[in-house]
Amino acid sequence: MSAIAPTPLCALTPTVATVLVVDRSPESDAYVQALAIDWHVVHAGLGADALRLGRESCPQLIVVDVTTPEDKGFDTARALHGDAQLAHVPIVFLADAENREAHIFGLGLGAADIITKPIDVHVLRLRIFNILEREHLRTTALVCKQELQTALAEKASALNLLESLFNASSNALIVTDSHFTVVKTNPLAAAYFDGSEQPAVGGSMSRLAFTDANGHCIPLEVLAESTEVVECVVRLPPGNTLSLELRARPVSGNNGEPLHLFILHDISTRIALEKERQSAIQDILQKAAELGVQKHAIDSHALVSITDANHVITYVNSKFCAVSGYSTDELIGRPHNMLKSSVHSPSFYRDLVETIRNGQSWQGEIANRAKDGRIFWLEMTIVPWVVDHGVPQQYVAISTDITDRRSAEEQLQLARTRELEIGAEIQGRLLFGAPPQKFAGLSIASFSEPSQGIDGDFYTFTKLNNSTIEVLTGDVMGKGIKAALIAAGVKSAYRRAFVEMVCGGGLRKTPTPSEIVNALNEATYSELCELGAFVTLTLARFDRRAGTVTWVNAGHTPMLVGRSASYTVEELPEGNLPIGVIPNERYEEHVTQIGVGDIVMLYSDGISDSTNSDGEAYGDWPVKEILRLALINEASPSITLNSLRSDLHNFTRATTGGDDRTALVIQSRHQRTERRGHVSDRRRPVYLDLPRRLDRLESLRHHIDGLCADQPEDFRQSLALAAFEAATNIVRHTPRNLKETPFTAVLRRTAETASVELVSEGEPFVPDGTPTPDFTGNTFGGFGLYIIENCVDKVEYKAPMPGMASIVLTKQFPTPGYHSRN
Amino acid sequence: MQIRAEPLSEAEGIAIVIECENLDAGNAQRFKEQVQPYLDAQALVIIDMCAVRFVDSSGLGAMLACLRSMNNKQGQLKLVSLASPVRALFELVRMHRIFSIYDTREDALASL
Repeated sequence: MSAIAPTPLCALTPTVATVLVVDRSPESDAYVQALAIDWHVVHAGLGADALRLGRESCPQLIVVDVTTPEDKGFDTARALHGDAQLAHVPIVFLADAENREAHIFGLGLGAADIITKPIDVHVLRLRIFNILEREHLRTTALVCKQELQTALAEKASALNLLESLFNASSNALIVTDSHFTVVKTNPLAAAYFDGSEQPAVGGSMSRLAFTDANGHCIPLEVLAESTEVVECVVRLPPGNTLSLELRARPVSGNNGEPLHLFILHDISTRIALEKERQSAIQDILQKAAELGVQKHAIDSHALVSITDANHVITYVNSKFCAVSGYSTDELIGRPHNMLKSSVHSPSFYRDLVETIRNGQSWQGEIANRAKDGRIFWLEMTIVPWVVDHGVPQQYVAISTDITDRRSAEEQLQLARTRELEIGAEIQGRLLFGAPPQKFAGLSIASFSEPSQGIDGDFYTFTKLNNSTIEVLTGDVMGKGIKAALIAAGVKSAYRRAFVEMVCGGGLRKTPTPSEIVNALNEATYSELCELGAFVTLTLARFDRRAGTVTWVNAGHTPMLVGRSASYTVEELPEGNLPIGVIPNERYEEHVTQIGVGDIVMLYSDGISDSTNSDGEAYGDWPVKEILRLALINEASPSITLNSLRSDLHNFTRATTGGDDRTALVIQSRHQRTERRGHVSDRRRPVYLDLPRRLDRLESLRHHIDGLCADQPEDFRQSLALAAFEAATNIVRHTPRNLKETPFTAVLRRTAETASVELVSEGEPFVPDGTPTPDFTGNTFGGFGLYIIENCVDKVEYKAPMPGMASIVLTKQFPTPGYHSRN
Repeated sequence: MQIRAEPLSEAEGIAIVIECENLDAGNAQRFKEQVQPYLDAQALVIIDMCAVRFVDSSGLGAMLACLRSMNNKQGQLKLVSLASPVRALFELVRMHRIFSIYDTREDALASL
């Protein structure tokens, strides 16, 4: 109703209408007066006056006199009718009755009425009244028509909108008549009927079958009557189903007939999502329950701690608190290293942190310190929680308390070590009788390296009289305690056999080596058989006075003899089976001459069978070669043995395992008595085996004192000091495995000099010149070498034997010719 | 290692008599440990070496440690009665310039 075209003010019917009278004839005044009773009359003349007053007054009716001469009335009427503002105002012409032309003109111009002169005022009034009434009706009709058109346009627009909404709705819309015949659908609903033979419209809506959640059918009548939203499932003609929310609304058709509007909202997606969500929730609840069980299991067994990226503790379980002794409050917010113990090296923690910062799990055994200071051991797995960019946000550590296990392991290890120590001690006492320190005319050295802490090798020395000594050395098949016990048994059987033969038979002389070995075999054969063992051995008897060695070899490594006269090495033939193989084996003895300087070597096959990392065996050639070099270099037995050891070590390197290694070196030497030495004895070197202990080096000084007893004290002191400094160096740099092995000092004299050679295993050491010591006393270093260099006249570094190094200190006598002084 | 401590009657301090023949790698460490309490407690320590026949570089090192310990607290350390080979060693390594060495205990006390 708002879009009505504007109507001029004058066009509205005022309470009193305005009438413009264009007539200046004399008789006009009379009817103007009469008209003024009913209306507001504007009285104007012809021409411009009429147009001006007409525009000013906005009349509802114009009366024009066209009886005037020269058609001035027509011109005025034409002008008024042509004026835009006044064109629609009805005009009443006053014309002469007989003036037909005026009538035609007036009607042609659209006159509302033509009234003839003379004027009957009463008629004029009625006519004007009628015209105004008619005009009023016409105007009202126009307005109504206009309103009607507007309303129609609006209705059309609304219908259009409705239709669009109907078609574009995201819900399926179906309109049916009261018999549920489909009248109208939107495209979405029409698609529901795609599988139907009939098009959507015109067919029955019952082609769609509605059921409730339980699968019960819901009749269309019930759906149509329902005032609420019905959730249901519809089976479409093609057979597929949709979940719906359905609303029904009664509507009326164009002709007022009752219709049903069904609004079908597809909730399949929502239902599917809902189902998924429900299932996910179920899943989560299930998993949470499982996790709860697992957590309970872990909590009751393991220590759990969680730290943030900076290793600050954010969570600990009760087990963690129980083991560490801290409460939760004391741990949360503190750095995890508050539990750090001093057991591990800094690099251990560095590696750990680096591993987990790189996003990798760490696993290992770690010692932590509890609140009360005690150490507890954990087997720990740390898993970094990597969120993005590979940078861990937190670390979860799950640990098992292995303190008890560790402690048990340590105890066990301790027990094992102790067992080995005891074993080694028993072995040292039982299996290896120390060689006699002093036996006139023989120099003896021995070594044994067990393979497993306890040994099956053995040797023992028996002094028969002042010039005869015999050595029994052997190797029990096998290793470890069993072999050691058998070896001890064999040694004891050897002694018993010896004693029985001396006493039992009333023998007039000492039993021979072969008699002893035969008796030994008879005595031990059955026991060795029961134990499934056999023993290889050599019994060698040295007769210093006769200059012979008599030996029996029972399956043992052949004995070696180095001849000092020819610098050759002989391998003396083996002859018999090992002990314990057959009961009636006849063991035979052999004899060879041993001269001064000759060396006898007995060794177990553990030496020649030693292998290096390439699996090559050491063999017996290097043993013979070392023996030959010992002859050439006049090396003492201990130097020879240390050389063999050192060379063997250089060959095998880090290779462990293998058999026990035992070797004995016995050298025949010039006999000299302590009290009455021959002058030529002075020229022979004195070999001194020194223990590798700083507090046991005094004997070196005493021997040097003895060697140079004829020299002034400062001479003796200087040489002793130099030798002492050198010996101290050797002891300080002893490898761990040789701590128990002596090193050798060789003391020599010539007519002009006395010298001390200190021999130890290793590469020859040659210093880069003598460092100048710091004489200010601020530091104390480099004095040893300086003292050595300044106390003697010559310092030489040598490699006297394979694998051996030596330092030779030589000092010139101040007064040549000691003969006269002695 | 045996040492004997004798309080000085003439002055505030103590005399330490080394009662064994040698002061070397074998006992230098023990000597240092035994003498240290006296060095800590006394302002004057006289070490009497009349019995000592043999000193090596380790023995020298121990002596030097004693000297440093006394110097650090402005105390005095004096060595007396050095056998000639021992004195020779001190001279060889120029330590006779650093230590106060006297023939007798009386000479040492007289120098105060």
